[in-house]
Amino acid sequence: MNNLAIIETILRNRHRFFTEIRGGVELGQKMRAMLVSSMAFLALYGAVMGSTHSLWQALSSAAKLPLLFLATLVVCSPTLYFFNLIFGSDQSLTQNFALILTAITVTAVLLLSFAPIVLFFLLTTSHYQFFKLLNVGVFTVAGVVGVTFLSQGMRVVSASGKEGAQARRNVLRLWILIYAFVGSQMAWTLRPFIGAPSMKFELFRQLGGNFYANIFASIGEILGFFTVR
Amino acid sequence: MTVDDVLARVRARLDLDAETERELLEELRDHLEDAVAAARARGLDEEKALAEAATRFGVEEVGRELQATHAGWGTADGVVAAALPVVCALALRWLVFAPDGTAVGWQEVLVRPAFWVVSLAALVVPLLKFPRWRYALVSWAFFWALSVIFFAWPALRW
Repeated sequence: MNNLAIIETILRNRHRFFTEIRGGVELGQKMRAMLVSSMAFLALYGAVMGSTHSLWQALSSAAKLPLLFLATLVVCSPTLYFFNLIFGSDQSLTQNFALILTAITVTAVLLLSFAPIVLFFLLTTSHYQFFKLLNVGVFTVAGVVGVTFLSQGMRVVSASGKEGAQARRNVLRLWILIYAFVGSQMAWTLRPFIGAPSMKFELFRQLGGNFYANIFASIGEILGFFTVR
Repeated sequence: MTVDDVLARVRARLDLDAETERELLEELRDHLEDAVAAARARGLDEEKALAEAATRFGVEEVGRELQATHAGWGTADGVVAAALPVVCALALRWLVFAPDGTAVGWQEVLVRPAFWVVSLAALVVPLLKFPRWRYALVSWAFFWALSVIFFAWPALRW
């Protein structure tokens, strides 16, 4: 129940949660609870995504989606820490890590809440490109809300260090762009998560192309401009 | 001081969803009123009886304990409501489909009496026993029906 209590505190009383992170109150326990719950929710959402293709794809996506978020977290958190440090922040790397983990947890909870909707479309449509774009939309919404929490958390946690506050806000904005870019590239590297119906199951696809070109191609096919092979 | 005042002090220590808080405070009200009635039967006046009951319950401690025990229940409801139908529908899907995603032979599963007995028991027992899970189970039933319909008539999918 502890893991879920953390989520309830984040969603219901986020100011108290961020204040506790600022004070370093039970950081380890909080991070563990966030990690466990977010990884479980992401795994479930991954299983739904992969279920359009095959059981192996469902299992593979259930493992890869948490990995995607963890890897992005590990890759991006030192940048945020050091840039904040340069602009006068007194936060530790662990506090930064906890804040980013909060964003991931919120994203994971929202993805879980979208899972029944995505499942509904999985059952009722066989349109691969539509399903892919639906997931991109869901990830975008969940991700934006997640980074909004991160932004609010940063404001609360660094409230004591007024010096360089504006610069730190700009750093955070830039960092969020980098985070989104790294995340999408990581997702492209770890693909497939859904699995094209015309292709056999593969744990990883060959590198080539990029995330954005693929999404534009999917939109083009949905709108009837061309067919993606 | 009234029973409502004591309950307001307990409520100040709670940070739960409104429904859980209301249920807990109603239960606490019953206990408090019983304790007050017992104290009054011993000859104490209303004010002193309530003060004694409040002290015996330990308002701060009760609030803390209730918060610690019930924190996360609201979220648990939400998680169960979202996750349970999805997990069950996926389990059903992979029970019916072959691991490669083809649905050849799925009819065999549906004509096995054991499949229906176990499925119905799994659906009905929690529905009757756990009121908080009802929404999730109704939702599961919906996805289940949807799964069966679209397995049986794949042409209906758009």
